[in-house]
Amino acid sequence: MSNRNNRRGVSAARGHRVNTNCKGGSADFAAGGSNARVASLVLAALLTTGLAACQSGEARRDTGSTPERRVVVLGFDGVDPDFLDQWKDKLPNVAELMKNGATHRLQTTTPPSSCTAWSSFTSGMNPGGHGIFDFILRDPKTYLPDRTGAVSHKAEYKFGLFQTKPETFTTTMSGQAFWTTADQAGKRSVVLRVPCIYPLEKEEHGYAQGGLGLPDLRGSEGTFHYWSSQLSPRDAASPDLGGKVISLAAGNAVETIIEGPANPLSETGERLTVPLKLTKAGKDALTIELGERKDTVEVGRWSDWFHMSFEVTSMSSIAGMARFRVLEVEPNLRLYMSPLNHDPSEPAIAVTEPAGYAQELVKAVGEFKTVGWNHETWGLNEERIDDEAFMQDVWDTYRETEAITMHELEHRNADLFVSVFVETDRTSHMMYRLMDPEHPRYDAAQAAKFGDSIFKTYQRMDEIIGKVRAKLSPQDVLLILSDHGFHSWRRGFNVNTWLIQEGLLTLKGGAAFTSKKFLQDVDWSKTKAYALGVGGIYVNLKGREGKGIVAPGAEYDAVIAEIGDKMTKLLDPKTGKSVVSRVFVGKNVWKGDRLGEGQDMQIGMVSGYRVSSATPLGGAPEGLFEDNRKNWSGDHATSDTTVTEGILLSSAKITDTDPAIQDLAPTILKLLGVPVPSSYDGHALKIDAPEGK
Amino acid sequence: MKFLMKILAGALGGFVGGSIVGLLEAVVIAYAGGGEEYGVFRFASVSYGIIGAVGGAGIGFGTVILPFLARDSRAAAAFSAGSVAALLGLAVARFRIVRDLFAESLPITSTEGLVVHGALVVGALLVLFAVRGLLLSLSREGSSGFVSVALISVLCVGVGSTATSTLDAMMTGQAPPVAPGTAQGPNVILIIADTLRADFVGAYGSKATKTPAMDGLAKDGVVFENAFSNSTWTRPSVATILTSLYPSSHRVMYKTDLLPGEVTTLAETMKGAGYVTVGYVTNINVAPSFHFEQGFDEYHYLTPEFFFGATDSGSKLAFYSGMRLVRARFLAKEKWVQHYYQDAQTVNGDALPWLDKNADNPSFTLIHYMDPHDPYFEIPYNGVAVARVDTPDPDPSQRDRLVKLYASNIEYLDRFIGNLTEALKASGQYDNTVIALVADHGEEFYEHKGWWHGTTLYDEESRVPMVVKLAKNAKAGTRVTAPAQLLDVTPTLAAAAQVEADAAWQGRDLFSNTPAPAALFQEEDHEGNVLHSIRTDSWKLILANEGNPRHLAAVELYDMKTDPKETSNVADANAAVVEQLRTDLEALKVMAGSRAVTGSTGEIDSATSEKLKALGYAN
Repeated sequence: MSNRNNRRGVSAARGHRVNTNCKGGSADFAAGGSNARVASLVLAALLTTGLAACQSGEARRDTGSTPERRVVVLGFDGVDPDFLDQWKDKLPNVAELMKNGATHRLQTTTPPSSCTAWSSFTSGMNPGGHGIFDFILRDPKTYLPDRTGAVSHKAEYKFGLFQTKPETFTTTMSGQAFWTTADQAGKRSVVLRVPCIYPLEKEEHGYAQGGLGLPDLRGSEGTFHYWSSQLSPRDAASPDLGGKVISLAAGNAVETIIEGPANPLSETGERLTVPLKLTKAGKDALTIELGERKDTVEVGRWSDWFHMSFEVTSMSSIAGMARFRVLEVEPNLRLYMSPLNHDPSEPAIAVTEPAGYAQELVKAVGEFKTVGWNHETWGLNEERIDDEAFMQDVWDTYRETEAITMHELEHRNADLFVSVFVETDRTSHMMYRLMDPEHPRYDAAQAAKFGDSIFKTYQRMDEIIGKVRAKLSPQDVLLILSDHGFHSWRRGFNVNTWLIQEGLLTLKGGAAFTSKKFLQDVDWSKTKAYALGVGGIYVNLKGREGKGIVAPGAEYDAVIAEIGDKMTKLLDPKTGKSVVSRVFVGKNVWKGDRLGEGQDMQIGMVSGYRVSSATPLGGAPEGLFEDNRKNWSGDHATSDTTVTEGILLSSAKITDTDPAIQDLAPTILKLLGVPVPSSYDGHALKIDAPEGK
Repeated sequence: MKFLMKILAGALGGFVGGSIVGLLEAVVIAYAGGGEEYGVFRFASVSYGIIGAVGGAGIGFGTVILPFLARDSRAAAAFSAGSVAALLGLAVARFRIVRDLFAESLPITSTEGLVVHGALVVGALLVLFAVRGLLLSLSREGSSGFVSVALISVLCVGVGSTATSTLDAMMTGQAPPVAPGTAQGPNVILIIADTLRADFVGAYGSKATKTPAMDGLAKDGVVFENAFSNSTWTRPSVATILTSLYPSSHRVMYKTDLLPGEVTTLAETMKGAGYVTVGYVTNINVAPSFHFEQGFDEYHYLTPEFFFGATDSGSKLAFYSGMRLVRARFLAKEKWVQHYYQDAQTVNGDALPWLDKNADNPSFTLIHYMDPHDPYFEIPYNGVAVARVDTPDPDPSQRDRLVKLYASNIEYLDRFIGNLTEALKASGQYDNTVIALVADHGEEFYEHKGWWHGTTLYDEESRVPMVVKLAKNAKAGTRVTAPAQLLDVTPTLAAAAQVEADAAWQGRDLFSNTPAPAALFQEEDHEGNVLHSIRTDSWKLILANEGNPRHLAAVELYDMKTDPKETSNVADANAAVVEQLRTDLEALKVMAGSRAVTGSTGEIDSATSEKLKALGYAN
């Protein structure tokens, strides 16, 4: 590639341009753009069976030699340094590291948001370099939001029969992962579930499992199904806003469907379905018939995995799996189904690198979730499932990811080992309300049962750290990090409504608020700024925005100054206290090629506040502030960066005083003896690592 | 006698070997898709068979001289079939792998090169023994082998013919009749003149070349004096014209790229707005096989007449261009236009009756003429022409002659553009029709020591004419100096037809108040030359990849005010300018690379909405 820093999407979409050696083989061609390449491969395979010999190089060979020094990195998403400090007496392995190794607060990115921070971890660059400024990006021409990260490219079919190209992905993230750099220097790596790096890059010596960003079968972060024979008025009014909601007929035996992936052969995005038959088996159990499988599931527990196959053509299908939870049988039949995971035994998209690694893992530890956001946060937030169901699933998933981690740590020779756990983050998002008596959703009875959920995820973390340490040699280096800290989210701030009030945003007809999302009612000819994404504010800039009115230069700076000035003085009438401690200005906190794509400003709020749930999608509902009545009760993404740090623990002393998340990539490469790319913004930390043998 | 038997056996065996390779390549071509017919199977089984037979006769003769290779005619047939299949297969596979998988850059000394070539050789040997073994096993020991080999030859051709007729039969289906248009705006005709340099048009100051028809259009319309293509060969350029996306946004850059289905073409936009859409093209690069028909109610690709009875799909065979070359060099020295493309007269012969018949139907018409493109024919056509295919590197002394021929081909085209405008006037449509004339790229005549196009981003290859005649001849005679790009064609024409803009367009309506961008961006990734350029009022910076076959310097900077012909590279003396422009260029690359085919239309679709909702932060 002529330009390594170009968006990875470009390079990934041009599989054949990527340093293709023999090993790159078929997978590269599949990632390539056109059928001609695939077709040529067919010819090549037909005419030169010799290539088959070449392709055997596809299977990585562990050379068997034990590495001189292993660098082992454990990520625990969202672990907060204050919690860690508070609980350290009950976390023996953490305490031991604090005493004999190193412990630091880890500077996070602005915004302190998972994908932004993990992308800095991965690329060694600040957001201006890697281009992931938020979960959400907006098209400046249309003002419409979309997701950052993985972008899907439809599978292709021939004669409506054969798949000629699988669904592939590119990403909006720039830069190269440090493990890919290490791979190119001949280092062997195992990289498990690092968030927001999907699609996985080709590795010569490495193994990787996809994490956050790897979609479910429906192409989302994880859409649940909910069936009920008695839909509530709210469900009936907007059935698709909270997962996939399906009404059931009355009766003891009912037939319904599971609505899966969009049909890749359909222009209109029609979805493929499979039939599902439900039969009541007494008062507390339901018999579920799906394909060949018929099983009775009791109320109040998760079923094991049900497999299903969505037929695209008679020759080609998409394999999925999901777990059911029977919520109620009598009087109303209510059933919940987890997001549709790509089946790791026969995934329609790449869930690991190399592709065959997934099957190896299934053989070694059993089936595992493949969807990147692998927790039932949405179901709990929509009150489809309860705290117990959510936490049971957390423990199941924790076990699953721990099993993969320990198996790979023990059985695969790698110079670099990275594994990321997200249960700490997901639980903090959903259960914060039960450990914060000031939270609008605090409930003493429920707190007695689940108030220690977050703490328990820290305990499990501590156990895993202990197990991993037991497998390490003295010369190995263990680094443990989190990407950001956590705060309670008691009150939501309607940023667009505030902008209207300040005269910076105007709705058509001069309304003070709207029920519409996606900035649909905005009169752009009278709008200077708008909020979109998780805490981002954009200036309606002439030349950049489709209907921009603010001139670049002095006028632009004046809008930014005005917002920063007014917002930091804003008080919540309920408490009389200030809510925004800082407004970060994009061009002051970021630098790099991608700077121009980011938000002009990022809000930094005090603890207890987040932008409201309507704000990220461009809503401007009534009122400046609202109590957060949702189960999603902890957050960090719009908090003030300077008080939302993550953690960094190490088995070896680190003498720097102020490490930042983008310093990890250069630090790790240096420990591995791999030259640090000049594109990095981070610097290698001074680490007192033991000599290799 | 035995001597002749062996040669004949060799030829027969060679036919089988060649035919097998031909069928396999036909499978690849059919699989790669995009075609409208499958004549390639029949054509490949016969033509590769004949090539194989010629080679096989030689191999048969070889077995006479080296009898240990094959003792008798039966063995000679089998050996010849195996060798031909191996050698021909090797050549075809190597050609396609290097072209399709490595974008024509696979140095044999690189690791990849060694591995691929090694694998090819091993594969070829396996093929040799496999085919030889197969033929031996199919013929009786002691027999001459003639009967069985002849039967297999017939079988191969039979398989090819059957595949062609079966698949062709599957493809036939009547297109539904076109519904009349409902649009209220004026008719729109987009004329693309392939390879037409701006400075060879009278309205752009050419004295030597007479183009009265184009000048007439310029007089009735608006001339954009500084118009540039965003790439310098047909496929990416026309894709940019029709989508208003930069090449790395629509991602049609390599020879194997098809126009993706996700993009919205001008034809789709116009059709959506109630226009009947029709296209007449005669350049293979915009043929339906590359999916350029998207959005056209009728899309007529006027194919050249193929040699040796080939069809469009057959012309994609690796050896087809070789056969053409052999024909040009040895069999027929004469060159006739219809073997390369259909000339303007023929295109008009199809397009004008349609326009006449649909005079009252709101329509968008694309007419893509090929005439300025090489071969440069002597006019009137007399069989004499200079073609890139057999004269890739003309002697510089030929420059004046080539320029004259090129100019005469432009004058020829101009006559038929004149016919078109006259016909529109005669039927009373001219006044109410928006007519745009653009070229997809220019042509080099040794200005930078090279020829043809698609090899550099210098002005001779990228400065194009752009004339837009509006309805009622509004703004007639205006000359605009602000820079324009092919990117702007679609927004400009849509606006002129009062059709709503698509949010995904990267270009601008040239008649709107949207100011011209501060810098123009061009990119090329063709035949190993990976080039990017940025042009401001004063400067043009061109970056080229290392080891590019055109041997361009990695960094070139030209002062466009004092050196508009780009003769003196001043990069070294202006390091700060280079740095600044390089930064801007990188930003443009990211922008173009990222503004991928999202195709947003101002509404959030339900899948995107679900994606956003499923993100916990937003619900």
